[in-house]
Amino acid sequence: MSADIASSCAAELSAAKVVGIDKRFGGAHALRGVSITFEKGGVHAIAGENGAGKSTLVKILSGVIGDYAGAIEIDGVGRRFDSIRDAERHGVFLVPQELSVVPELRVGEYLFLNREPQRWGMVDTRKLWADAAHWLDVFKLDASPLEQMGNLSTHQQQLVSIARAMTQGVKLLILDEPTSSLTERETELMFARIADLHRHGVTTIYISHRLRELERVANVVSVMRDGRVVDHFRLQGQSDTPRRIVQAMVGRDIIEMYPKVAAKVGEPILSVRDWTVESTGAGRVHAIKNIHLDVRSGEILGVFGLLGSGAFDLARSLFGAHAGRVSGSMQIRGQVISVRTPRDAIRNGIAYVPAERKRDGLIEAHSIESNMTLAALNRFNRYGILNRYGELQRVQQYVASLKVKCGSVEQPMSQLSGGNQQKVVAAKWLLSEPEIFILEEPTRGVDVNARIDLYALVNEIATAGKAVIIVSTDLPEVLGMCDRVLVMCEGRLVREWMHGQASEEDVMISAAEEYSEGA
Amino acid sequence: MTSTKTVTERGAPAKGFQLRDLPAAMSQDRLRLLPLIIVLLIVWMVLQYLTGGLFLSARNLTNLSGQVAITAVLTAGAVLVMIPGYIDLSLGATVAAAAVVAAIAGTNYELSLWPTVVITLAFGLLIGLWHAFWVAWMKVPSFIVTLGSLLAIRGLSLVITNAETISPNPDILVISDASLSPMLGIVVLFAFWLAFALLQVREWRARQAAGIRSSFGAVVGLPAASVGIFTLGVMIMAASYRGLPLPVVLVLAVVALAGWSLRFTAFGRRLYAIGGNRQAALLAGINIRMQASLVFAFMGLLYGLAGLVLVARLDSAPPGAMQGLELNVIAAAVIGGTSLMGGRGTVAGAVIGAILMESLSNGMSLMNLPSAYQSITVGLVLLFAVYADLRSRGGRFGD
Ligand SMILES: Nc1ncnc2c1ncn2[C@@H]1O[C@H](COP(=O)(O)OP(=O)(O)OP(=O)(O)O)[C@@H](O)[C@H]1O
Ligand SMILES: [Mg+2]
Repeated sequence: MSADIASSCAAELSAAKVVGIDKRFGGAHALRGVSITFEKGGVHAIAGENGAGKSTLVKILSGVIGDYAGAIEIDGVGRRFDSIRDAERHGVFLVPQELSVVPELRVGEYLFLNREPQRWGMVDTRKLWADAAHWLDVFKLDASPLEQMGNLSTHQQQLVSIARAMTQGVKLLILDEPTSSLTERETELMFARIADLHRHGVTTIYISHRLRELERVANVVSVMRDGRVVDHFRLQGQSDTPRRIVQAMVGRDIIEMYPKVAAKVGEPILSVRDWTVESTGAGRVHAIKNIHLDVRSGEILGVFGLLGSGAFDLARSLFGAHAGRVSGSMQIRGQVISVRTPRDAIRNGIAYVPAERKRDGLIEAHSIESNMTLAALNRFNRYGILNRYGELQRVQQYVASLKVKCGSVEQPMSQLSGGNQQKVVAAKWLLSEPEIFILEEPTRGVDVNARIDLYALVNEIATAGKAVIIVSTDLPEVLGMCDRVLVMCEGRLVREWMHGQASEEDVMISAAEEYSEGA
Repeated sequence: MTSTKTVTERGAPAKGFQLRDLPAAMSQDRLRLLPLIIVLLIVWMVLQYLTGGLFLSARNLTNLSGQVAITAVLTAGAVLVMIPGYIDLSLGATVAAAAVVAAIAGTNYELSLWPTVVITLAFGLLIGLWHAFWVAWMKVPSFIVTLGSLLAIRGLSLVITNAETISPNPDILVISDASLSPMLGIVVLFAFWLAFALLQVREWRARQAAGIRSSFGAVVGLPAASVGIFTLGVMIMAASYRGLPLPVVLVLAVVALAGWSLRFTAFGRRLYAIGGNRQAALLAGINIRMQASLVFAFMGLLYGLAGLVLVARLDSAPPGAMQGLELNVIAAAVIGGTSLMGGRGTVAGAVIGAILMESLSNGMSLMNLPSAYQSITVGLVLLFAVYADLRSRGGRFGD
């Protein structure tokens, strides 16, 4: 059935075609006969629930997973890639969901890895750096070719990976949730650059949970569910794309994407004065300059900013996890406290869901249960022994309420899909029952349906009289869920709105505004 | 709110063990030991055959247990060090130094047994704290800190003793000669097994209560049976020869303590977390400095303990003894499934690894093979054990 839908939409020219792809991981049936045709030159979006098999599909397509049933055609020729390199040789490049680069490698070296320009049998370093600088410029990337990859933000690393694909004659570029920590505007810029470079020929496959951005950048959407393609349509002439995707994904309409519950806002819990954070990267000296901030009990405070605005630095520094020097004073319920390490923060009832979940949030080789209770172990400590009854009960409770798709809570995190990993990371901090809950990109990679469950839990915290800070690049989320929205730009708070007062345009305009002294 | 259908069915009764669950079940650390135990048993059979029945005689087993004691005690500690991603290269030198301290305390200062024991343990603890200071506070990689100790402390022992072997006070021989009476030994072993089985039962009941599908056989039956067979073997040995030797009791105590703290306490969980992802552990509020210090301090006590066993066993304290011990201990831990990168490993596995290695060297001595062959064998065993372990994990090699 799904094959029919796919072929009916197929144009004469197909850049790639997957036919009847089937994949099992032990007991888990990740893909059940998936067939899709990817038209040449288009941007083909794939949407679907967490754990639907999107990443698995593109991993197979790009040679990361070699063991599967079914067939792949690239430019009309049947292929079976046995390695990533093999796929790259045939022009198929994947920028994976959990990008992992060698942190010590320099940007220029990474760009030309395995294809270094040669001269007399040696690497022609002059040409290497010059070419690298050229490509960074084309991508308007604010990084030196000599910078180490590890010092770049995830977004920059992604762009470098895309640039790397571009320099190697990419025909099929696959982006697995590249924009989960980008604002819509930045997403459009990224796609504009990709389109600029290759008006002809390059096909892009693009996975995202932000349904509205699909509308703007994609031509065709395939929706997956439980390892199958359940819907497949052209965006042209569609009036209500997100709705159709949601319906295909979850089998019903979702009326309220942001189920905001207004709690009673009371006294300030967290007060910050003259908060200044030194920048650790190159360029500016201050990541944050003299911010005053109050967060009240029962309040959900949203902080929005473009890349480099300092919004994430703010979240991290409040938790005592910022690498740069922090100055200023912090009070919790009127009590002056000093938070120099995450441990201090946790002791004072602060919790923090980091945006970089792979690096900061999870232990991939360890089980779901031990990841989930890590920040709250003291809660389960009874006479020096872990109270396994209590621990497992709570873990099961969150697995069910956040719909974590897994075989058992003993499964290692590495076997979960990206969105499900995010749910576990969020649950880890929900379990610690904080007074002040700082969330960075809380729904990064989480599907629409599970988001609503996560929002409900955040609402619950606010209703219980705690304070919540959401730092997110997902503007609809910030506007939909927060009592108050702050916009940051160049390390300062530039605007403030109450719930329902601001439109997306207002916020985007003030976030992008050049900050001028005295404004 | 109903959960996705793949989410574990809540309250579902534990179904029988199904074949397609096997890979998942085998990937759990507990059951990873099974192949290792089987290999150990095969090695024992082969050695029994090759030595014409000498290997499994009660007399040789007692002898073997004395040999295993030092390695096993240290391996249990090494697992605690390696799980958070550290390493201890100082073992040979520090244990020999502890033995020298025990001998000097007994002969030069004429201290009796208990003061000697206390001083030796204190000496070990001191070195452990020294390591802790440099690793946890001064942030020097443990590889370097303990490599430094390996050289410096070996040198120190040679200086103190003028490179001569010192004889200890005969009092101390009791550590290797004493044994619990067969009756008492059996009671101790049974208590050991019972405690283990009860903890597994508790784990199983916690899972049942949370509605996690898991079979009784995998959680309680198999582990309890394998530990049971092991304790039964030791019981038979204890009953048929001289009772339960004190070194074996020490091994049991250290193994129980280390294993218990790794599996059942928050302390252990945190060690795994540090090794699994240091950054995430830090952000989860774990006091890495404190954890590392405790681990190295504990390791220090084990230097002292192993030194006492060594001096009693040899009836002398050669300052140059135990060269290369650290590599044997690391090899044993790795054979037993401990990762050099941290984040993974069990005490039980490491001890089986230690028994395997000592069995090989003991058996080959019985066959009068020169020690060169022993090191060839151990080297190859290490290589294949790690290869098999990586393979069974199913992950792709980082090619
Ligand atoms: N190595 C693995 N071992 C076992 N199961 C796996 C493994 N990799 C993926 N799975 C399972 O396969 C299913 C599909 O995973 P996949 O990562 O493709 O989902 P996804 O559609 O990309 O989801 P998300 O939107 O959350 O990223 C999930 O149920 C996941 O648990
Ligand atoms: Mg995915």
